[in-house]
Amino acid sequence: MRTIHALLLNLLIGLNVFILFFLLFESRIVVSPALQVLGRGHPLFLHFPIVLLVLAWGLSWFGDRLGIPQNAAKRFIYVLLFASAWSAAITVVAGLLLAKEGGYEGSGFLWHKWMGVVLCFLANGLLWYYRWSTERAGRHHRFFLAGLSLSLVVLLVAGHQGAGLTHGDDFLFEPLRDNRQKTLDMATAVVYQDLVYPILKAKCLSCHSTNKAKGDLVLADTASLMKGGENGPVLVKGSVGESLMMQRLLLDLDHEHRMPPKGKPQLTSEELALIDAWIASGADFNIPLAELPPNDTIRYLVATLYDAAEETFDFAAADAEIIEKLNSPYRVVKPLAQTSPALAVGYFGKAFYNDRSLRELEPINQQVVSLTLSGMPLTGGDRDVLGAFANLRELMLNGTPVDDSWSEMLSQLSKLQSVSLSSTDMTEAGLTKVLSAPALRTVYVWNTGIDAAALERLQQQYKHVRIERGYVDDGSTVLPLNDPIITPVSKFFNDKIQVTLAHPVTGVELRYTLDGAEPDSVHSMIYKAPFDVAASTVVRVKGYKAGWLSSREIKRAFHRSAHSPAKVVLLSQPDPRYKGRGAYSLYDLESGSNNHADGKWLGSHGRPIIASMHFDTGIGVDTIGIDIKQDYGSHIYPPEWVEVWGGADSVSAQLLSRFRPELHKPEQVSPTRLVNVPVGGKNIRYLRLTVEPYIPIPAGYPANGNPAWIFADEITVR
Amino acid sequence: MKKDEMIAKEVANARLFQNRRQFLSRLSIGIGSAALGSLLIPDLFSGGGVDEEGLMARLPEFAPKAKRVIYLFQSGGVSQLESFDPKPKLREMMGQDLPESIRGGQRLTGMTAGQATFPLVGSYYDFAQYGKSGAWVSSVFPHMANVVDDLCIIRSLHTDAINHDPAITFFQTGAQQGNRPSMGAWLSYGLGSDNQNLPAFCVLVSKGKGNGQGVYSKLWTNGFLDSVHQGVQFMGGPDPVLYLSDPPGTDRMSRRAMFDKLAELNSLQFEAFGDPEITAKVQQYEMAYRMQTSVPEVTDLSKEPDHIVKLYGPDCLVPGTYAANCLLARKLSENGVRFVQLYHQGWDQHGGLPYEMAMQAKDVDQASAALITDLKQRGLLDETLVIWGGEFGRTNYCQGNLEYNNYGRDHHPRCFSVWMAGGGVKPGMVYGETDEFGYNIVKDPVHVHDFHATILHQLGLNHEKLTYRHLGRRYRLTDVAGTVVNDILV
Repeated sequence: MRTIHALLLNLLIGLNVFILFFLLFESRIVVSPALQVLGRGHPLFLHFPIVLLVLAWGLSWFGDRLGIPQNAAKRFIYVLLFASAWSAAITVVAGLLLAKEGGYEGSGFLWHKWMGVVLCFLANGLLWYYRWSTERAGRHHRFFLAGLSLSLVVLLVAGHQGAGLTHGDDFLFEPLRDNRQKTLDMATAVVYQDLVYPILKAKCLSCHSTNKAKGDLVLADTASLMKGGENGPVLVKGSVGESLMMQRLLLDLDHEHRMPPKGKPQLTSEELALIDAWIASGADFNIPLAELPPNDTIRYLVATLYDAAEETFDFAAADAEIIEKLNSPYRVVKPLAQTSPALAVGYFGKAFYNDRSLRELEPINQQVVSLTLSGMPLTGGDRDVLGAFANLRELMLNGTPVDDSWSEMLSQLSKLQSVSLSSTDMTEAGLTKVLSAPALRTVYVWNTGIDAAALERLQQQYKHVRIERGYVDDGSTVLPLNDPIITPVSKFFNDKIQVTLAHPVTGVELRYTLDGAEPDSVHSMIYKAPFDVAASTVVRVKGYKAGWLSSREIKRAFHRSAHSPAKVVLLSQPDPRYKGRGAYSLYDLESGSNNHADGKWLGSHGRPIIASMHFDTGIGVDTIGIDIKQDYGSHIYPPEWVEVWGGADSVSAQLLSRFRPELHKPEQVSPTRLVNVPVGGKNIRYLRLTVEPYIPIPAGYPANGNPAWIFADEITVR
Repeated sequence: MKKDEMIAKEVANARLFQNRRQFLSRLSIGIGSAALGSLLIPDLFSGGGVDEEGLMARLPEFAPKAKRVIYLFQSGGVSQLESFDPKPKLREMMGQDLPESIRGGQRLTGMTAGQATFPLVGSYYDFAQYGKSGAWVSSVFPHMANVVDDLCIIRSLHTDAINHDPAITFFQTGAQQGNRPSMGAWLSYGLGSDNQNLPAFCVLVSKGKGNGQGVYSKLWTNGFLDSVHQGVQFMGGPDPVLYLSDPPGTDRMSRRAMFDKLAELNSLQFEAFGDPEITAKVQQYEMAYRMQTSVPEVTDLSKEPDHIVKLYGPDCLVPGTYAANCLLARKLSENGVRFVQLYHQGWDQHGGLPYEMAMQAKDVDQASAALITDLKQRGLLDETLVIWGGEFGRTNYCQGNLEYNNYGRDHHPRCFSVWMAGGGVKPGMVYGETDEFGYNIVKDPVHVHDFHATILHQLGLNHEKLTYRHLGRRYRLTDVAGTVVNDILV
């Protein structure tokens, strides 16, 4: 017996160390299923320490008076304490294991947990103290009694908080409270009777009823409410500002006229907003909630006041293995949340959808509450399968071949709240049937064949359902078309170039000209197919489409470079940051973009670009074109001078032209420009160009006084 | 020494010995219990974190209001004073110096710190009230004004950073320095992908005509999370996703065979090294293979009906524009992409604001509003959270020379406006209040961390529980701060 006693004592110490350890490493502990069973024993074990401790306490205090012999009482108290300490330790361990299963949080839980732990240690401490002090009397005994009483208080706190966790907060005092009905039938609720009056009843009627009638004001019935009190009417329909009631409700809490007065239960901000919105809307005593427009403030407030709690589902969860098996890249089956039995299913990739895709969900069709089938090629077979999804709340059928034959099935889905039928073949008759679905609140019918008048009629008839029509192009929005696109981007060619015109919007008529005239919608050519341009040409194009304003005009000049040089040599060094593709840039027939750092432009700062061009046969040169960039703000200017030397070879070359291009005014500058240099030379096999920048930039121009940049991307020879 | 005392000492000594023995035996019990307890911690000595295992389910903790997010990021810092937060006082006090009591020692950027005066400047554009909610919207956003009853405008956002890169990094990752996972990566990590044929986190970038600031791929990084959570950029052009199409001459069968062989080799490598990045790589190859079918389907805008083109504006058919990205965002979102991140550059109006901002607004106004309308008419707005806003606001005083029709504004972190729509956020609401100078918040401040906490909450995630263990501690998107802004939630 002694050995067992010693063993139990030692084990008890072990248990307490274990509890400490558990508390220290709590976040990293993983509980095995076997231990979960132990954990779930918590609600059973916890009754032992409660009873045993109370007994020990009673015996310690009143043992004498009950006439129990002192020795027997001592032994009995020891046994009780021993059992309390043991059962408390086991209860704590079980409780900690149970808590690891998750779902417990908040201050109530924390109080329960720590009070439980404190109680366990208190009980153990008392046991050891009792063992030590049992031979001694007097002061020691008084300490013991105090400790025991303290543990009783801790027991009460821990027990109460624990009950709160199991039965819900306020379980104990709930019967004493005035419980407001938290459920509301949206379809039948009357705004005043079911929303406003309950607030008045809970927060105002204790003083403003027929029994009490403070300030001669009675709010119990509508007639008295309209009559008002000693200061006159309290409610002015439609005017929140003039309604005395609202004024009093909004006064500062410390104000002497504030209602409800300081110390009484106050209205929440939602309740205030609800009364406010109801008065503002005309304070109609009889208007049903369902008749309010879908986006009415009162509706939103009702949603916060009554629907805030998450919906709970009364069906069992589906087998996790089945869910796992049903998942594929083209069908996603997921619970709504970690602990929810409800499932949401989505389908993707219509090429992978077949007649089994939906049928395979049959084992879980009671659990699916949200289903997205948008874009899938649904069939009549799918319709029959879908009819068995009795718990469906949300259904997306956008862009499917769903038509009126589906409406009977949809109207039978008793839980269906929202159905999206955008871009389907549903007609007015079908929709009318769908609208009779009992729980339906929202239906999306954008881009169906149903006309606006019919939808308006149905909306009037089914006020509790929001019929979302979406954007309808009624012809009143007339937008300008965006820019047509001319390809290729490059504007240089040798013999001919194929030009393609396009517009991002389908069905746009492109009208273009090649003679330099402005295109119009009457005379200009209509673009049908790509065309060739063989001479230097300006292509101008505009887009037209019925229901749209015409586009801006887009134009591009294509320049012919009749003679391609066999070789071009750069005799000057371009700026290292803008060396393009070296000499090749100048005859690659590619034009640079608006960004001079795009790698197609040759740039030089304050120094000339000098290039020589070599031809295999002698050619006649009429004009040389240099394509340059202009951006005065960035110091990029046209050349001040262009010098052209030419001849049979570099030795015999003579000065053919020294040309000064016009310097455009800053307000007329175009970003790119082809500078044409008249030359006039025959039998030329060698050309040397010197393109000199402005040094410095002349007065009256941006950045004057600084050396200018020159940028060139192509040289054409005609 | 008296006999009694000696006996007492003997007894005490005996107790001492006994106690040592007891001590040792009980110590062993204690250690034994601890050892027993340690059996409950499978990875006590392995050093790994357990956080990710808890998240393997990739499910929201509680039923979410929003399933997806489309974040229309207006990069550069939209001026709240010319968009959603009208301040008539600034027009009255045009040109007068910002009172020091209002500025309250706010640090300034190097661009205006040297200014001798801080002349107040009122909005060049007029404001008007729209919709049932009567929210104020400036005249540059006529289309957004039309859908204002669907928006929840927050005027009281504030941030810690005053320059673009730290501020935008802060908005994306919850920290001003880089290397933390972006919001989309966190969501991909926490909730996984709905459509396994597309990345959970897609990125679309466009550029307006205004003064712009860089947007770099570090903003859509997975940080320390697994690289499958990285954002994937969709480009405007023939190849929306880079390197996705097969090289010329490769058919789909041989591609498949190559992936299978590669997966085999990778799994050998994984067995040898156990590096989870190898598995991530295999998953990415597989997704890329499926994306070869799904991406062309999603990015094909040519089948959009004419009235959709009118809704978004014709630029929605020009790849790479903001309008096209909005349309694409709708299509991606409709196809289950968890987080679509748009960036539109060009909102950094240090000068020439009246001119530049009008152009910027023209680029985004119609398409942003169209996205709301379009989601709504398909029944998707309720489950999609749309966010519109930049990384900070702009100062109420002028940067540089002040003319009534030509002025600039510097960066301002203390208050700015963004809007949210759908996804369980209250529609037709204006939240938060700034002072009459538009400089400080006087009511309901929302910090970037609060903003993040709220977004995660709408997707069914507790921002304090979405953690990842890295470098010896747990990290969150909101790090150690953040409170859900319940006032704006339905």
